Amino acid sequence: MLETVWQGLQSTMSFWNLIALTFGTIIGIVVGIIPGIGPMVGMVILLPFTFSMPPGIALSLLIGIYCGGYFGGAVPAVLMRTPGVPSSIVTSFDGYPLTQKGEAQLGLSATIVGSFSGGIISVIILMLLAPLLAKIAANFGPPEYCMVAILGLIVVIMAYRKNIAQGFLLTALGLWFSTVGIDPGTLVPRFSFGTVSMQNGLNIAPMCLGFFGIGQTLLILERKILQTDTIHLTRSTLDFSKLLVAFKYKLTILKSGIIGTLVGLLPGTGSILASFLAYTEAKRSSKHPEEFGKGTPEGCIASEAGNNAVPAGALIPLLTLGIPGDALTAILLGVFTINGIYPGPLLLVKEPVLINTIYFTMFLINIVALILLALFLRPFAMIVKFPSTILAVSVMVVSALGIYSLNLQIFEIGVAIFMGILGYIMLRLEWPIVTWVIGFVLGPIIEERLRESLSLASGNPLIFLERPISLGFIIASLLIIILPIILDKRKKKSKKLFS
Amino acid sequence: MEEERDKTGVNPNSRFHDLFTAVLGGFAAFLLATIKMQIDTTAVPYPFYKGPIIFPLIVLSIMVVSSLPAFYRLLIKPNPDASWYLDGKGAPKRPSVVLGLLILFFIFGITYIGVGGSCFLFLSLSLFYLKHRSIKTFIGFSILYTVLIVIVFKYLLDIWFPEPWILTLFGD
Repeated sequence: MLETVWQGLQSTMSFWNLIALTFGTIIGIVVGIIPGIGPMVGMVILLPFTFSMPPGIALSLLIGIYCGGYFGGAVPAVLMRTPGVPSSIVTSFDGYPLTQKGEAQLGLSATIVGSFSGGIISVIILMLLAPLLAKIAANFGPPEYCMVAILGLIVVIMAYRKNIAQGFLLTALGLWFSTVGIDPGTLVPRFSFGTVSMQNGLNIAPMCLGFFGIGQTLLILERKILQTDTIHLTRSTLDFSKLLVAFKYKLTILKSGIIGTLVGLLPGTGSILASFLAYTEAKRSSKHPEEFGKGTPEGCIASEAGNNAVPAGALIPLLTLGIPGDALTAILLGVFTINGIYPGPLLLVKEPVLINTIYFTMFLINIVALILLALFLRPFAMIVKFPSTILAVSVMVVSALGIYSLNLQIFEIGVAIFMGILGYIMLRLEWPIVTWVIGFVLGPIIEERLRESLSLASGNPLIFLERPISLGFIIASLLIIILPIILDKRKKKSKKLFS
Repeated sequence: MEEERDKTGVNPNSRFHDLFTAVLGGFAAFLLATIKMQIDTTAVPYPFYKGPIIFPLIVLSIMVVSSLPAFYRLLIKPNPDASWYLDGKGAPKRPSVVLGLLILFFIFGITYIGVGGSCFLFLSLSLFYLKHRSIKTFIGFSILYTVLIVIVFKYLLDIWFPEPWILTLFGD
């Protein structure tokens, strides 16, 4: 046990891992600071380059972007009331008033301390909770895995229940895309439409890069999200005395970190909810709730600790059950599976060094992000001034060539562009595209487990009802679908009565 | 309803939503109807539940069922308030042009004019179209970025790109 912890630490401190996590964190902060881009685009752009890397280094790079993005997102929220990532909108409630009062340094210190502390707390919870969950999941067979994956899909769909039909449609579309190519079980080509290129199946990189990278940049071209000349920072670094002030809110930090981790655990809930819940709880328990919304560092700390705790929280179901809770963890799952590593309860037993490397890497990422932002605050903040349209076309070039470099196939650039068009339309229609990517990533897992389960029962589907854990997941899935619909109907009825 | 149309954002009665849903559902229905042609199971010795067809059948059916309400609203009983409203943010002119340039230069262009030529032309034309018309930006930035891209992809990552057709005109 101690040996694997030591090996994990050694692997974390290796030269290339440190380079990967630092580079990933820098990219994460940059894409987080630029409104409209975000960590997802950063991750998908670098995804093709990670395929030739060892899994530990690839994950360090991508987790660096994932966590760094949340750190970066708070900077424009405080300075210009424009959240870099959606969840930082809550940070702007108090961050921007602080800037207006001439206390931008205090606001930024509070957000950075909040992000750092939330990140560290959530990693500790991840380290404690993951083995426990893995022990429970060790009793799972194919039917349980199949049902828990379906439960994960349903939770994500129901998180977007305002568009429930689209949620189901997109999830099924993602699942269908995952079936294209040669079926691994029978070696029969499926939906290749007579082309050899389609027989290889659709790779996760062009699919996600197109859907999120090209789709998002097409959207940026017409929306001109980034327009500002109003950033004024008196210092190029962070004022360290303000950092210490921010650390005084220990209880808020602790509570927000725990709330964020727990929200991250639930698939589909997202970091915005974590920020809101942490902020609301901080306001409720504060000695000065009247100051919230007018510029208190406590509000910034709560919201940032909440949203920065989400990545580690979301890794808990990913590592122990193989269920990604959001699009970002779905990409990480893709990296695992490409390297022949299948997250699940046995991962903690089979790959203890990799798991410990992930834990230590996440610790380090939080420390590196804190140092980078503290020392290079102004250069990072000035990134917002870079014209959005130049950035968008530059991202398209890197995306197209990144995809080509993967398998040296121009066909895959075509796939990415097609997915980019689909992604762009869906982004404009505001459809829950997260459900598509989770469907695409979970598709092969669900199909394999479904066929294994049916084989175990000689084709009898009742096997899913005969096994208690599997039945429990089915009941939970049904309740998750039915309860919100009933509650929504009741709400509508009571509204009608009142009006 | 007019008030709703003036605002930007999702319109719950948009017929675009229904149309797009119906297109995806119709595609799934087509695949379902032709599944035997899409997946040849004649040589598969496995029973149905172990075979390659069961999972696609389930997911395509979910797609079709999910799109039925949209089909109903689109073809049989449209909502009286419904319109062909997208999101109030105008026609996608800029994305369409840039997308066209992307397809032109990165699907067809690479084989004809090479990665450097494609990259430079795409960037310069896109930036010119997007109103970055100072020479410094649309030519200077495009050259700088192209050089960087060629160095990274061709020389650092050692990625192979097809020999451009244009070079063959000049012989060896």
